[in-house]
Amino acid sequence: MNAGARRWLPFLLLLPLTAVLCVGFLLPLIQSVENSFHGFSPRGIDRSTWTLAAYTKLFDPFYAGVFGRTLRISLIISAITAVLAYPVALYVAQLRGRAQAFLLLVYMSPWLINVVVKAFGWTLLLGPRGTINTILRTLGLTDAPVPLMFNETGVIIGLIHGHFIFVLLPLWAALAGIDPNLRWAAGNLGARPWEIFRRVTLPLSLPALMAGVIINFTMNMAAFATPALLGGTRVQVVSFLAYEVNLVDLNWPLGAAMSMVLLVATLVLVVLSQRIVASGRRRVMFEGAR
Amino acid sequence: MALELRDLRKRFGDVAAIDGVALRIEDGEFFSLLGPSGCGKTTILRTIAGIVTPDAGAVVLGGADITRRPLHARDVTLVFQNYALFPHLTVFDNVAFGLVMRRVARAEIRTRVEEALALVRLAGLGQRYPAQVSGGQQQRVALARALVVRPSVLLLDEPLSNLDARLRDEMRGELREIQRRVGITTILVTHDIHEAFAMSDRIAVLDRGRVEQIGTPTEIYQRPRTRFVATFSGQMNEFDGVVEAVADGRASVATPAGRRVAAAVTDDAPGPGARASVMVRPERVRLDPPADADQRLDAIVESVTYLGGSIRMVARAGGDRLLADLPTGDAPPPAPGARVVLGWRTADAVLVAAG
Amino acid sequence: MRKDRIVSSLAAAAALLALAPSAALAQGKEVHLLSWGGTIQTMLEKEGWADRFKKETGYTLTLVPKATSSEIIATAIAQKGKPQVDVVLCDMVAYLQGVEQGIFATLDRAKVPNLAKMVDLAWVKDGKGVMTYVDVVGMMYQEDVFKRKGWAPPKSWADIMRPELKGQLLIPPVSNTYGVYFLIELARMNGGSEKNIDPGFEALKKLAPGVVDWTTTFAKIGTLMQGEAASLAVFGYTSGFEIRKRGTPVMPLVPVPTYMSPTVAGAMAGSPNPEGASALVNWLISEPVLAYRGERFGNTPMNREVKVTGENAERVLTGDQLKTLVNVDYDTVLAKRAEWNDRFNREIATVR
Ligand SMILES: Nc1ncnc2c1ncn2[C@@H]1O[C@H](COP(=O)(O)OP(=O)(O)OP(=O)(O)O)[C@@H](O)[C@H]1O
Ligand SMILES: [Mg+2]
Repeated sequence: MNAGARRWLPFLLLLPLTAVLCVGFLLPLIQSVENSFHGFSPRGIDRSTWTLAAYTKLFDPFYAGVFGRTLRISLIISAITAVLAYPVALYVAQLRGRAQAFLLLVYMSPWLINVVVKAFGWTLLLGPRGTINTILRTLGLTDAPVPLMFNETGVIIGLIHGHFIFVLLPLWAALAGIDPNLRWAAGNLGARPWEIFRRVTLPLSLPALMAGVIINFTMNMAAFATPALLGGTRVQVVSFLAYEVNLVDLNWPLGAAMSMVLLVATLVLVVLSQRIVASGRRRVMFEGAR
Repeated sequence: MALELRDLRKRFGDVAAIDGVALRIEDGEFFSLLGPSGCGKTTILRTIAGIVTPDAGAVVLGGADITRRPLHARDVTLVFQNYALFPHLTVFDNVAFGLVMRRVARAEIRTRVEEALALVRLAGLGQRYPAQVSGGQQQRVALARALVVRPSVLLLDEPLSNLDARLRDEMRGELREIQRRVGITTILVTHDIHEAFAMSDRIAVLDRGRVEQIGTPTEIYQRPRTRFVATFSGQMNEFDGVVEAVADGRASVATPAGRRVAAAVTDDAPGPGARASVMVRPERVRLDPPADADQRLDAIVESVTYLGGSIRMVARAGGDRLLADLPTGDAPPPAPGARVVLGWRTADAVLVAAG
Repeated sequence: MRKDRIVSSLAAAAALLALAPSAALAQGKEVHLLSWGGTIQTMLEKEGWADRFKKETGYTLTLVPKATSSEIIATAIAQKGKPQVDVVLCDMVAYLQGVEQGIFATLDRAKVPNLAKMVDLAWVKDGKGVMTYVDVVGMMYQEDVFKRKGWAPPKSWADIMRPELKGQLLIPPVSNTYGVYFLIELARMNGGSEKNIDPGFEALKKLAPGVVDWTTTFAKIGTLMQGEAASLAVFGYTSGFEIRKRGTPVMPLVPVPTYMSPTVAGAMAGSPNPEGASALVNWLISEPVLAYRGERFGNTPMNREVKVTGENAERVLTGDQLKTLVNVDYDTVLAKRAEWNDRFNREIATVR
């Protein structure tokens, strides 16, 4: 193969994927951007007029509130998932190969079950006469059922369960990939177990944790079935509203505007979090010696 | 500080990685553990550092038994076989790590880290990350990181094995020089005899988790006590046979072909009737031997190779093949096929029990 | 029209990919039906009715299944101008949204002879569609809970306001077809109408704190009823029987006035196979198909000549009952749908 061909080969190999992305992703996206600036009436989308009406509408307290709630719930879920997944990943990463694979499969299993089926399962557990409330009542801890469903708690529980693997998997891969000599070297230099974790294990796994959290967060922002089934209409999230606006009201301009805002908000958060990780990387040690 | 290992044992499944090792390393000594791959060198170092817990035996540092002391509380630092530098920390922070852990004051950390970097000739590279410096520089970072905390004992696990030949030679000298200056008790693990000879005050030769012999480089080279040490530490001419007689610090061995060879022995040498080998280093074999070379053989030259500083001659004497490393002189060496007389002094030959 | 060109050409490309192997062979011999993946799919694909259609008409019937009427109509509208489907079958309110956007052809009495057998009510928007069968908006209550608490079984719409039922209710949101009818009934009950919907929203607001969930699927109603998280629901009458059949002790009832939720069929304007489209619509409103819908799923046929027998006959409205059905002002519903939905989401949905 000559040098020219070798230089072009990667691009050639990327071509099919690029084409698929263009047709399946980029063109609809451009169409959505355009739609979001058009007018709307029951007769359909009005492409003759250009207007910011859809965006203005999103700034009213109701829509802003739904965006705020979606963002808040998604962040809470990501934060709790990160805290819960970390010890699990640490534990799994130090097991033998076979046990690791088995446990990962166990944690992967919720992802293999249909979201709707999962949500119905949660209904049986979280309902006012569900397993959890029955246990609480039997133990005499509560008289009235604790509301675990049709509120944010239900959505948070359901999504932590549903999207756990997206934090666990990259984190496990990073932790299992850390050379054990690095931990021993730290211990050898006088670091106690907690310091080894703080100075070596944690910083080395932080990029993977952040990557997992970002995936988890975007999945939370986009989640539809779980909030609808476990939160109901009382926990309105953007995806739910976007569904109704697009498919029930057939108000495509507003739906497109919502998608745009969601996309931009998510991108901004992703970029911000990467900045934070990158800047936190420098001088972890010596600055701490003060 | 002096370090003592008492009958140390460690098994991994059915492999005895350490099989009863006992030795004592004096304060300020440069001590090497020499042996082939898999003989347990790394495991011994890790046991000293506290990464591996021995099944039996004790590690005693300056008179205190530290066998059960946790990893972080031992005053020994280890330079890992692969350096184990922290990839997320700068060279400076890597070196500062141990000082931060010891809660040394900030100003002092700065001066000590800079001193350590200067000591290993890395001044000015502090702000780079490990991935941004060369392999030789990484090795020196690892050394600086271990030295800067002024440990009682410095452990080096094949620190030079990843370097190219030239850099390795250079680093050998530097390492020994730094050790002398700092005066720190040091244990070096290596499977390279030249490295061990060049750097060590004393050497322990290991085989399959056991100590074969402990001694100065000269003792190891010139008076090997076992067949393993003799062959591992360099080339040997071997005469296998049965010990006939031992007297006056001399033993004579009869080979199956009827040849008699003698060697100087100590009291613990194999007695009459034992199967044993007489061994002579090639450079002790002389051509046209002088009067004091009392062991003599008639031989036919098979090949002659010019090595610069010496000439390697291979010759045949009856059924035995002989190697001789001869000094290069003005006279041309004998050609293949020439009949020659080769000889050595009894005092230059050693007797070891049959392997 | 140019407006949907990008979307439709994309869809065309996708459809071409999907259909490429069979299209060449069955050119003009295929009819595509855009409808639900639920009982329609069961009937056509598992119970052999697509094969019957082929035997009777020679056309191969392919179902394009969607989950909800909203998705069905949104898909149809996205294909506006260059449709890949021939016939659409979905709920009335959604269907009318499509009519409004001009995506349907007028049915031809000559090519759809069964139209002559339909009740007058079935005629949608001057022939832009035809009601095939209707479900009625009903209620269902959890018998065990009602018995245990000694509550009287509900009979009328007004029963839903009973104070002891607070915290027991499952009501469909206004985005759901049944929810629209329920909102209209609440408005009418309180002196309002489609054009004066405020009393309806006021009543909903009063009910809202006592609503366990604003539920859109009968499966979820079933789960919540079974777990006794709720004991009175407003939903499709036949759904009540389905839930009961799966072992949950719910009793369905039809309150008066009775609202119907019609299912409408019609042909896409510019359909690739207009002859096949007419044949399919004619078949969908034929006696055997509607009799089967009635017997199997309890749907009330809009074809006068259909006789429903068997165990589900009880669910099907009789001719007399059909006469007492009330209709709603669909033009207003259509114009106000998005507004009501928005209002529901803002004012009602989040009330606890
Ligand atoms: N963690 C472990 N688990 C099982 N076996 C081990 C372990 N560590 C070492 N061994 C075995 O113990 C023996 C000694 O290993 P060690 O690493 O001490 O050898 P070494 O002398 O350092 O070799 P090298 O020169 O190749 O580094 C080997 O047979 C090795 O396979
Ligand atoms: Mg080793």
